[in-house]
Amino acid sequence: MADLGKRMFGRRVFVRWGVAAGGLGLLAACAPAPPAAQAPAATAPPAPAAAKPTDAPKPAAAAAPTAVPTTVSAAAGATQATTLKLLGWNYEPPLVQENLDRFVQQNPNYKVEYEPIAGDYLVDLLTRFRAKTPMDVIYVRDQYHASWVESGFLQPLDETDEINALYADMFPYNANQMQWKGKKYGLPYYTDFDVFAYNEKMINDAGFSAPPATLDELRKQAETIKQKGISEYPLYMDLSKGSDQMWDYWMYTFASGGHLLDQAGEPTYPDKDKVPLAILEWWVAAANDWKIMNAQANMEVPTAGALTPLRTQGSQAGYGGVAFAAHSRYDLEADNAPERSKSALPGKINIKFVLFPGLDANSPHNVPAWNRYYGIPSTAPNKKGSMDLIKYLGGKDKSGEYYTAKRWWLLRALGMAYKSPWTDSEVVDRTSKFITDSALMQKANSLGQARDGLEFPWWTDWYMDLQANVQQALLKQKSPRDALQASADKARALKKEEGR
Amino acid sequence: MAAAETLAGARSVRGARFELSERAFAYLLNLPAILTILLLVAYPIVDAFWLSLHRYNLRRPEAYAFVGLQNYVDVFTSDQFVPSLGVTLFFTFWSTIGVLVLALGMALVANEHIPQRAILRALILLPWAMSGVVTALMWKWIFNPNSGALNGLLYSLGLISNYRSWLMSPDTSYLAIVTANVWNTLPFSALVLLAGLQAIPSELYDAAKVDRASLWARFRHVTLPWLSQPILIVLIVQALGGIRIFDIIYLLTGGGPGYQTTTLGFAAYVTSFISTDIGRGNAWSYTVALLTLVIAIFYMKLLYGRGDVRS
Repeated sequence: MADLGKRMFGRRVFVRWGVAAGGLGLLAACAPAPPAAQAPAATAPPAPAAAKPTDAPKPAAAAAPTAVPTTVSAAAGATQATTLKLLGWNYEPPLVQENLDRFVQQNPNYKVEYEPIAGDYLVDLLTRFRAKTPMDVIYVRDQYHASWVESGFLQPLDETDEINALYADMFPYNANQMQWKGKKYGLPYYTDFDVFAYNEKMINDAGFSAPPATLDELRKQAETIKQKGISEYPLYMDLSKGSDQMWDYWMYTFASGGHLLDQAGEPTYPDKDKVPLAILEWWVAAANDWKIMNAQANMEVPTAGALTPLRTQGSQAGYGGVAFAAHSRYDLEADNAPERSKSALPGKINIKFVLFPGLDANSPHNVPAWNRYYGIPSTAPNKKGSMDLIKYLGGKDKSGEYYTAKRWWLLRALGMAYKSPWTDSEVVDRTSKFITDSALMQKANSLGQARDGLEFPWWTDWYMDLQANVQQALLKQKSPRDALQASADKARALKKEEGR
Repeated sequence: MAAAETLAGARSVRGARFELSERAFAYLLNLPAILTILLLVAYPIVDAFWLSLHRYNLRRPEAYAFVGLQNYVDVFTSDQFVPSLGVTLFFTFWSTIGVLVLALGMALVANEHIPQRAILRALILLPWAMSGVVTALMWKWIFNPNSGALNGLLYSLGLISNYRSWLMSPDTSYLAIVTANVWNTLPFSALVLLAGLQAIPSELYDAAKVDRASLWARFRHVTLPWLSQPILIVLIVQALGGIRIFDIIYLLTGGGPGYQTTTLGFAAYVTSFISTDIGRGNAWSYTVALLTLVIAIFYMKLLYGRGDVRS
């Protein structure tokens, strides 16, 4: 009994202390926020002298550049500063933070709270839209654009002369992509397009002086490389499944002038447009008959952090695991950096690109392009603040320079959507480090086009089913025609269901 | 009993302002736990079911509407349903068989009086300490088609002439995911069976030896009957885990090649989080839950119907 009494006493004491601690916590939480330590500058100081875009700006006081989420303030504890919230996917948070530091230096009346989202960005944002979470500026992918606008998740920009001037300086593809029904919805984060890359040393050693211009030439070169033992599977394609995988099918189809969906979302394959079927038949033969690519290995979702086959070590210096691969233009920079690629040759550009080979010599060489932009969610509480941040991040800084766009190109080779900065001497110099023919790059850029049907809400379901059918064709579980017919039927069913 | 009376008396004296029955007092004490369970478990379950009766795609939230059982009709008539069900049952069956056979073997070895038995038992437990995600990533490297350990081993032994893809080959993708799952879930089952083995009285084996029973006869007539309950537990745990499998599929094969390794759970994930169709995704999830429930009831009847275990 005495023991029991002690235990009861113990519990009671525990509960009392717990309640007391909780009450104190509650009181603390309800207490007014402590006053700011220092008064802020009442007016914005003049813009600091333009720094070199590759230099990190001096961090704002008390800012922790790598902390997540981070609040940046030019004047620590500024009482009048408006806090803006930026959300983006988790790409290079420290560099984003440096860009924001500069924004706050130039605009001390703002703080910026930056939250990089490490998980599934789409699901995360959709959940926040649903919960009406206040956000000021967000990253937007082109595949989200139409449905987010139609669903009322985004609000249009204020169409000022400044915004119109920025749009006038963009490449048409980028300017068009960010508009919907005559309204402008963002300013560009970066843009890029796919290129057909090749290892120059490998094709030269196989006896070819120029890269392939058609798929027949590609087959011939790949077979020769294989026969000479330079590479077992000279051609790599991303054949994995996923909402953002298997871009190669778009690349090969576009390069030969084909399309998959028309503007109404109706599938044009396998009969109305014969290119997709011809491409898939070529792929099946490449994997199973000519054995120039390892389709099964290429179906595996790439392991994060692993070198791409173009960058893995081949049988001798300058050789990669494969000789040909299609990928983003910005990958060329890493392809040719010896510290990031085992097939790179120091002091030489070994991985080059060519206009994407098509089914015949008259192919248009079109490629998929994409746009990533800064948009303003409809839940943004402070439109002026959002506009100020978006104009800095996606346009010019206070010194009149395309600061962040240029910086992304110089540091990470992320493409610029604006025309004028491409003639900048620093940009030209940087480009020459990994691209030998900048005129060819601009030509390829002009051939970029958006993937078909991104505006339809059923796009992802259709696209992943298409990928599964393509895989089944490559494994010879279905004929290419049957696979594409099944995919086309699926598209029609999804479209019909959407209208239900 | 005396303590309980004392407690009740104390409560009535101290709490003179309100009298509580024993039952009400018990509920009061359990209230925090009940509220927590209602909030964190019951509410999401009911809400998920409610959502499964609606058309609700996050890409088109304005099209939200009550559709009754239409999502379930769509799931059952989907061209993916039967193949996914087949893959799920196939995966569950072979995972369960694989785990049972190997766990039994491991438990029998670990139950023997061999040197360093404690170390052996600790090693058996090791894979259990790893999460499904870590296990899947480890096996992804082992199965890597370009630099994987399995390819390296088989190539160096001269058993294969070229590195190959184990995860995306129609012949080996099932085997690969079953292997990864068996490796990860084996230790728990081995532990359960080992506990069962240690509960068998040694006199039974002594008596069988006196009767000149062979090793097989001792296993068949002594060990197995005594292990029937632990085996049933292993079967239940493995079968239910197999039906709900997601992480290994997600990380190793992504449901491919084609739809070859797409299970019901993975289809639910794709519908909910890739297609962002929350209504239909919940219908897929409830279908998995229904299947799990049916199998659980079947096993429970087996387990409790024998009379050895009382509910």
